[in-house]
Amino acid sequence: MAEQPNTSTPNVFEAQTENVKEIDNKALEELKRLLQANENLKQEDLLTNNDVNATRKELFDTLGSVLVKLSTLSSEERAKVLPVLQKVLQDPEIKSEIKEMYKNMNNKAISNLLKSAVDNPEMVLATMTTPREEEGELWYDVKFPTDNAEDRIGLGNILPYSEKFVMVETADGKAMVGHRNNSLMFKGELRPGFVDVETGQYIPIVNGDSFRVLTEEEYKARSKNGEYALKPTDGHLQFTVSAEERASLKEANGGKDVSADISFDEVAKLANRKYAEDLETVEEVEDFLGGVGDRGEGSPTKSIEGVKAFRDIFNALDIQSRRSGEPYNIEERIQLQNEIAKKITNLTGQEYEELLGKIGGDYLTARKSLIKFFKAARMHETNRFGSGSEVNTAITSFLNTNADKYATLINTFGGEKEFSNILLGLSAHESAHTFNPFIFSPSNCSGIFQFSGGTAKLFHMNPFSIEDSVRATVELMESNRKEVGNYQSNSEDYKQAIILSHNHGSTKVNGAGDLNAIIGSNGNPNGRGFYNKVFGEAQKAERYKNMQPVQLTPEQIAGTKEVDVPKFSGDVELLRARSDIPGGEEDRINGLATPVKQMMIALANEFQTARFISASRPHDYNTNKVYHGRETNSDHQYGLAFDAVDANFSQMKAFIDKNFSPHVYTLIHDGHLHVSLRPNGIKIKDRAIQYENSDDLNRRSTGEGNQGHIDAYLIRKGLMLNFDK
Amino acid sequence: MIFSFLFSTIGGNIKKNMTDTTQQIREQIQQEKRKNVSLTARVAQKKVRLTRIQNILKEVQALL
Repeated sequence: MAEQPNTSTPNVFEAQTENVKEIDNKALEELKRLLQANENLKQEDLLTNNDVNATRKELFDTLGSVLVKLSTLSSEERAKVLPVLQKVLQDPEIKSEIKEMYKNMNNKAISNLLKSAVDNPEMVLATMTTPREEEGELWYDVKFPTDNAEDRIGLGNILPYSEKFVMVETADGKAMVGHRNNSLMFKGELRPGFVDVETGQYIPIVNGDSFRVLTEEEYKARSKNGEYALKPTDGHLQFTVSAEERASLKEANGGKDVSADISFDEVAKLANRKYAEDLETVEEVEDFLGGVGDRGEGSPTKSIEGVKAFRDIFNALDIQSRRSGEPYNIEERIQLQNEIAKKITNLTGQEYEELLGKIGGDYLTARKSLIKFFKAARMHETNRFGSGSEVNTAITSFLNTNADKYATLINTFGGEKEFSNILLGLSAHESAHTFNPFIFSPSNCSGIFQFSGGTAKLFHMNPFSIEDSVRATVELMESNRKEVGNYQSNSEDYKQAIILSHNHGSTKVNGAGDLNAIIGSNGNPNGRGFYNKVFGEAQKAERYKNMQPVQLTPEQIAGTKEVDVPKFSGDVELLRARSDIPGGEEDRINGLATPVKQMMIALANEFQTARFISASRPHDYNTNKVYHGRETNSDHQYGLAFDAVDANFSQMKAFIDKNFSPHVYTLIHDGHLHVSLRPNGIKIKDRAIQYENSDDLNRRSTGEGNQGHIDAYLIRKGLMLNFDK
Repeated sequence: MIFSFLFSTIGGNIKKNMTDTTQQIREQIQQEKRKNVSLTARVAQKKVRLTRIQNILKEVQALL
């Protein structure tokens, strides 16, 4: 008995084992097959995602083009297009798709139009109204659903492009004839209106108006000389010049004649061109151009921006009056315009603001115009110091219109130390890029001259106090002047301003020798480039000073499961996708990190001399705050920033665009090449949430649309620039 | 008896272990099957959406 089991049991056991093995093998085979199938499905899912996104983008772009094209279509053609467009725009699914996508669109004009169309299709569609027939004539009723629509949708949007002349009948039965407003002339301005044939007056159209299209003959029959009405040159300021003045203008204009009614554009061009050369000459030109009323000291119309602002105010009043349903009388309006012009040119900055306050209404361009007025230079951000004229204009306006608040202070403190108004103005401009004394910037600097807490303490000052700020700035500039001397030439005041007012703290450049060495001989960049050249190195050194190279433990390295990272050529060694934060692992599996990784490797190889900064995750390196899904146009989200110095951004941008679109989005802005990651080709900025730290981000960032946690590290020359810390 | 018992016990244990493994594999299979179903559904859904957008795109493109 004792031996039997020895012979029989193993057999049974073997049989059983074999049996189990067989089952196992089958099961394993099936499991393997399933795993492979699922892996394929994941890939397919990802590819489909990409397709969806690409198609969605194409749809979005196409819709924008169609909307733009609408104004070029004839009524018959439009009648065919509208129903389709209407159907698409009102489709809930498409609506949500477009809402997501419009945020990412570069063409703001189209995306705004599309946004309007999606938010309120009726708004756009209603303005493309079907005409009604009346005694053989086709009449269009103007029916803007909202004031906002009225502001944004002009006759240009309603009328096919080929149809230029209209007869407008107001609610009170007055008939006016005009040609459509040229939208190029009123770029970004109020433009729901037309130009009256008799007076050349620009007249806004409002709800309750009806209009019909005229032929050119019909229009000319109403015109005085059989020609178009005068252009609404500068809106409502007619610059009339004498023959003598005209002759000297011609000379100033490089031999080119100017029309009797000099256009706003011409004034602007002339002023801009001359401004760069000689401020005084331009002021003279401006003065003898005259304009309406006496343009006294401190007058907002003194500057080009002021002229624009004035025009906007009148437009706003005009629209308000038309909306109120008052009978529209052109002559009265012109008279009123002149009265306002006379009043307005003698307003102080404060009165001017009060006036705007009275006009009120967020929808009015006039309101925005005030902001523009003070931020004139900001509008030319891409080439901030390009011609110098915009900045000078902004500063002159600022000083002129804020005489009470600032100029005295600036004159008193600046004058003592022989700093010019312009120099201090430039310094303020270069500090905050706005003249708002209560501004608090992300870099923790405050006030008009952007003092940091430390510097403010040093100067025993309150950075929000204009007086303190001016005084401290003058002191700072004075001490810098002693140290580095006057680095300046008349045309380069802003450079002097930058040096004198920014050379302090930990990034200080010591001595004129150092400064001249930095400014140096080769090249003399303008604006931000200049600033970077002088302070960039010192700032960077300061910024990186406390950064510790991160040593990855073997466990961490093993944990990343990143085995397929090719070696960088040169001294760049590793870039890894994080797997230790929620979503990170999934990203890695889905290959979301791969394009970035590849891109960084390729860039490191392609542009050996470029200085790379790795700024991973949505992050503001000024404040060390981590942002996520910020509802702005910021490109810091999931972004990489490349340093300004020594890099050929155009080449790098072209290289990235060519090879890595649509996974990344590139933008050259503010002295950096920003590269935003777009997992699946989508830029993520869906929620306006600001996270205080990376833990917070990690904890919360697991929702839909947040996939794409990529933490890209770039190690160069042994230093890991980790902006997450 | 002792050996028989011993063998059968050991055999039983081995068998049990193997069965456990098999069981695990089966569970994993079930899991992967479920994943497969949901992934298939997801992909299918996305494809439907893709087709839908593509069709709309065609419609809109025709307007240009």
